Amino acid sequence: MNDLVIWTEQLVKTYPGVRAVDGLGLNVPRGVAYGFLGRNGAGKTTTIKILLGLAKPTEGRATVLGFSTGREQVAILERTAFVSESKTLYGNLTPRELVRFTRGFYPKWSDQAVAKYSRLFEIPMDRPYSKLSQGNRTKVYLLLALSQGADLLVLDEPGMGLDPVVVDQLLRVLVEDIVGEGRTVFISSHQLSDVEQIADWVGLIDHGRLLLEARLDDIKSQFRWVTAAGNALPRAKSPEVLLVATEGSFHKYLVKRDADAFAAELSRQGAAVAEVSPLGLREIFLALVRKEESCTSGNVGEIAEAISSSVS
Amino acid sequence: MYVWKCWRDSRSNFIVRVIVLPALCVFFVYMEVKYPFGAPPSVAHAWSSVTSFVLGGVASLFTLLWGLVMGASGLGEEFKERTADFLLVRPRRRRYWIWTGWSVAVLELSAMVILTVATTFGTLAYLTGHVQTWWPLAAAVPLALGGAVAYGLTYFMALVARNGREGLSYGFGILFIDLLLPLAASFYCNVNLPSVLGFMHVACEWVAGTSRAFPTGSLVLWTAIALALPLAAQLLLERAEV
Repeated sequence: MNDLVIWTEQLVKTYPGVRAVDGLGLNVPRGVAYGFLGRNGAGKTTTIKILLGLAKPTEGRATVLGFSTGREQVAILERTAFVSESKTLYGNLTPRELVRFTRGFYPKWSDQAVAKYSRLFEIPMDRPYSKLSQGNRTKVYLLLALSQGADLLVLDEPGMGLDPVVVDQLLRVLVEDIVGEGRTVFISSHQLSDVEQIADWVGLIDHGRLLLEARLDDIKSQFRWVTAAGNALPRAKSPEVLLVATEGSFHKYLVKRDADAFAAELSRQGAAVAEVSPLGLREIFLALVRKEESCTSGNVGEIAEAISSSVS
Repeated sequence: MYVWKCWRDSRSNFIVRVIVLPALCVFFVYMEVKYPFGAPPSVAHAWSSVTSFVLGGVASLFTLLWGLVMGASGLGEEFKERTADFLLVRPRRRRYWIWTGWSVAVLELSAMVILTVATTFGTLAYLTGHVQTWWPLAAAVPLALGGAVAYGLTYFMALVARNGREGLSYGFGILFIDLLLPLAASFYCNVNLPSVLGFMHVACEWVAGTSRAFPTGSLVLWTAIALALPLAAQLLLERAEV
């Protein structure tokens, strides 16, 4: 548990008529970028609020950086930077004044970081926050979070309102300046491609429950799609072949572990192997969150179960 | 930090208040001395009527109103503006936000009433040629206390409503009832109910040296209420979810 930056056990949060978080157990290792993924209303923001002391859990417990949420909240907040989903700050203050306001709360505050990121993100430091564009507001929020010298950076939809150039800059900053220095990034986002670029670990949550928590590389290295065309190709599943799907004249096999050997075997049987491709985060995400929907084709549910049971 | 932000948010209004209220009181002192109803008052009468009407009436009423308005810009408004999730993740206990804001507001209110009382008595001394000792400055105490009650009331109600404007409406309504109910109770039932404006008025008269007894009970009551309101706000905030 000491190596875990965020640890939760059987975390439950209920609101009248809603079970927003339902027995969540998170294990976020130190010094990684952790992608916390889920649909709208899956319970991501509620979980983050519990971790930061903005909401109290109905049941269960959680620690952040080894400190208990609630009882040792100030110690957590001294070491944690947070970029909220709403990104609302004081409209009458300029970014320079917001820096002045925020600086005094953090012993590890860095004015060099303020100078660096305000230049990098091209933030107009003397214009009132209310007069800034949505993108610039997000940048100011990020500037304040990045300059705190925090051990843990919690970002709730950080890319919202940002153009692709700034998103790219931000991802680089997160990897080089935060994770690169052994600090932890906990990023909740719908932008799967962005998360996929930087995340070492992913946690997928739906209806308040954790569907999957694993190292992204492990998922990608364990599973491959093998796409092949030909006659009399095998259609049966096996311990290695978790799923067989047909798309037009192609057969798609979800293969666990040695996909190249499986592709070679198909070739020997006269098949034309079109592609051996890794499973993308988007496919994993869609498979997992759709598995309980009856209207979707059955195969995605099978993928989900295959991933869940194989990785966990 | 937060003290700076509280000051940054309120300074322009504060400057207006410390100009307007003393100026208003100077005007009423001037009218009271130079254009009195009936015969020109004696110096002693001028002192007591100015203290009773200008400080116990005009200044008390305006201090209450400004206290109410100041409380509306507290943490309740942060919930409405959705800045609470920024502020409340700064590494401070929640009581820090309550008592820091309260301290800044009480300091501002105190500065305003001290300046008002000093200006009022200074003008009176100038116009009557009679200089009092420092003692009349004690009239600032009930004024500041009343302002603190009004501030705490709106602050608390704004936190309950999570909206500064609604908190102001509730606070204004409660103070209005606190003004009317004691008057009605006294008139119809001959019962004395506590009223903050009544306390401020009576305390000012006592400072002016009229024969009334010092309202010790009211002072204790309103001091307790002035402290209980931010404490209630603290308890509420400590249990609040954003």
